[in-house]
Amino acid sequence: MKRSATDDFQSSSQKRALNATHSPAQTSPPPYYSNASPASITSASPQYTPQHRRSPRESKKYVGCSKISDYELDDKLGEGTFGEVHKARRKATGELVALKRILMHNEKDGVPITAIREIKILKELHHKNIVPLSDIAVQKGNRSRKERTSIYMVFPYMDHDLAGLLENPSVKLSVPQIKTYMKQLLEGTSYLHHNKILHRDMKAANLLINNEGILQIADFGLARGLEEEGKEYTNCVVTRWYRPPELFLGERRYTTAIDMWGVGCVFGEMLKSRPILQGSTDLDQLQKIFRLCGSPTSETMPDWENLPQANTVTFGPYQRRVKDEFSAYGPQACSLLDQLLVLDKNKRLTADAALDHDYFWTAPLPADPSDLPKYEASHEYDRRKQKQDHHNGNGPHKPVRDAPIGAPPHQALPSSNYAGRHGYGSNQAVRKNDNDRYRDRHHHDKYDRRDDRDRDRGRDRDRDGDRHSRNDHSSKDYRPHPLPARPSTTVPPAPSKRY
Amino acid sequence: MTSTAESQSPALSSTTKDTKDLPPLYHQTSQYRHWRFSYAQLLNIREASNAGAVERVKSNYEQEMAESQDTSYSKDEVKFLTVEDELALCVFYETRLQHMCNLVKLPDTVMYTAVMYMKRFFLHNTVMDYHPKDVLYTCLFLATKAENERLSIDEFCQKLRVRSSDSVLNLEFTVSQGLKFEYCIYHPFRAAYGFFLDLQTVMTEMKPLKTLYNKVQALIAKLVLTDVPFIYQPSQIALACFMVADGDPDIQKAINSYIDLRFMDQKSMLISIKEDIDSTLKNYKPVSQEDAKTIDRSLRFCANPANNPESSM
Repeated sequence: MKRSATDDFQSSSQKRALNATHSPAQTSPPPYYSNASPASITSASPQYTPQHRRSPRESKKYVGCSKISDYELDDKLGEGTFGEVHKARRKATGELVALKRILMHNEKDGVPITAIREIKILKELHHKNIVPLSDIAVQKGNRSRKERTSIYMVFPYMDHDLAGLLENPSVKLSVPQIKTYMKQLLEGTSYLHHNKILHRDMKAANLLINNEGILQIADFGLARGLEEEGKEYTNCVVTRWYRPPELFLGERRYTTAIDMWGVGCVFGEMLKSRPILQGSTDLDQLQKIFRLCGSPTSETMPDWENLPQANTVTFGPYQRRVKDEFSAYGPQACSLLDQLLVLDKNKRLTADAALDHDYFWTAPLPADPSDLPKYEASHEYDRRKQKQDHHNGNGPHKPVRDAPIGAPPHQALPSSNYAGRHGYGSNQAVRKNDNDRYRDRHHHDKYDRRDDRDRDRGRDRDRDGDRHSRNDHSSKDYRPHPLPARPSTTVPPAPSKRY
Repeated sequence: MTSTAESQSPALSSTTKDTKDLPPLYHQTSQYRHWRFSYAQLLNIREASNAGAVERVKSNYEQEMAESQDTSYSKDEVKFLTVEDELALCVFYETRLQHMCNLVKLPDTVMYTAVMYMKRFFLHNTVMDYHPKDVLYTCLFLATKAENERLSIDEFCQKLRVRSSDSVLNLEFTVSQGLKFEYCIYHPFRAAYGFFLDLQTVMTEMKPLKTLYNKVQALIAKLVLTDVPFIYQPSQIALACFMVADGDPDIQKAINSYIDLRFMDQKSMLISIKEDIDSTLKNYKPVSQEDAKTIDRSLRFCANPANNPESSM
């Protein structure tokens, strides 16, 4: 909270130390210019110096801010309320990127405040477990042709996200793998919370994973900086399945603990390979939470009855059964989850405390990310070829057992299951993609009729009992068992005006 | 309070677990990485921007004259703005921006951010390309969004008597690009508040401390009009303000003992910062309306015709 006061002094002394180590040529850094080294020798802002050696015409180019023509656009990955996401290739380097477009239609007030927040936050964050904003690309509109300018946020392309990975029945996470993902998630979260950033949309679909085994937290569309204690925020945040109980009860003075509830839900989801609390409505969600975590009492959730919405609900009484429910996953996993899914936000583990939990320090230890299995990335398919294969009837809809032996598990999977499930932040992407999937089905009716039946059956099935059958099912047919549509992020209402 | 304050003091924090594991937070900020300069660097950048603009305007004028067959003036007659002119004009409008914020009661954070946006923007752009009177409103509007003080564009225009909201919105992208989309500004106000709390360990009487704190805030608002925010870190500025805000011997003594208590090892650095900021404050002269008008008049002749809708280009 009060970090700025003395951090900087500490920083300045450390900066001098850094200067001394990194630029031995500069023998005596000016004592108080710790933040302003001489222009020529060690530029304090290396990105600027070369710029001004260029010709004046060129000097209007900014590093980290390109034109959209620097990118070659590929498939649209999804479209949501906050923006649409395209896969693209950076022409200069050939690297694959995801472009998240900030939609400007109906944007009377210019660049949306959510986009400004997201860019502002992402530009300040540098951590291996936070998705890096590698560039901003601008497409200049032409006023006379009534074209609006668009901004694209550029991220490295990551083909998997945790939700997609978990829904893939041929991917089975090992314990060391879960531990390493969980550890990375907590490290990223700890970094965010140290920087006084609330993510406010922690969920499996927002956790991107690459083939180097690195997990990155993405979609900062709802994130914001924590302000002074006691500040009220909107409680219309966090996707329902991952939303902590205090938000349902109307808490507006929430803390970093709201993200930790989501982390707990993600952990449970990794253990069980499916979301653990799939409420169909807000009320149903709260009921499911209390069924698992016990009904709130003055002991388990102090002051809960004083929360604005508390008198509108009565559930239970239920006993807490987190430990029973997850006992199959070992005492350490069980204990960690038990301390994350805590009703009392003040007793919920912090990211730092969770990283100290024995779970990460007992055998089997977290895997080295580079040792994890490398899944065939869905983007490596030539999509056009894939489509053609569809029409020839031998497309990717091949049962797993027909896949070449030793083929990475993803190879036999329809990429459409992944394409939309990225967490770059178009929250409707999932829905849209589901529709795509269904539309595809009608296209390939012949091959898919059975899937449709299964899907319908799956809808009625009790979610708690179907993990088994889903896996059985998948051995005959690799198509992931249809899950109920993931709820999309609550779109927060416009923040109330202050003046 | 003392416990948090102590855990932040450099001597102690280097040994606590939290800060040992993590790199200093301020080092990772875009402000630290991209927006720190020496006085010499600032001058170089401004001279380059100015020279670039002059060249652009000259070539555009030639083109315009060729197209419009207008021979009424030659390019040699055009008097271009100097770096000093540009800076003075910017400071004039930055001061206006501060007045506006006061008038419509926007918090200091928004004011400071908006002024810094203007400063950052006009570091790499020139008033010959973009007139500060237009950029000003866009900077302020962006600052309200970045500092979570949301106003709708209609409210904004109504409060500030801006006639066309389009002029505010049209520049949003240009200004954002000029900021490299780095919207995050770290304010000395926040550091000053930390010192205000921590100073209570040596100044037990609240009344003079509160008076001092108010003076410090006023000084910070004044310093944002100078180059100081590009040179020093927010907390350095804040502490220097506490050191120079009041010459009263009792207060000087208290501040001195506070610095001995907390920053003994960095004292000489702090004193040289203080001296530089002190002289900046003493040499600061507000830009008068007349001066601004004179500059603005010559700007009319040397503004880039490419940005003028009435130009034949």
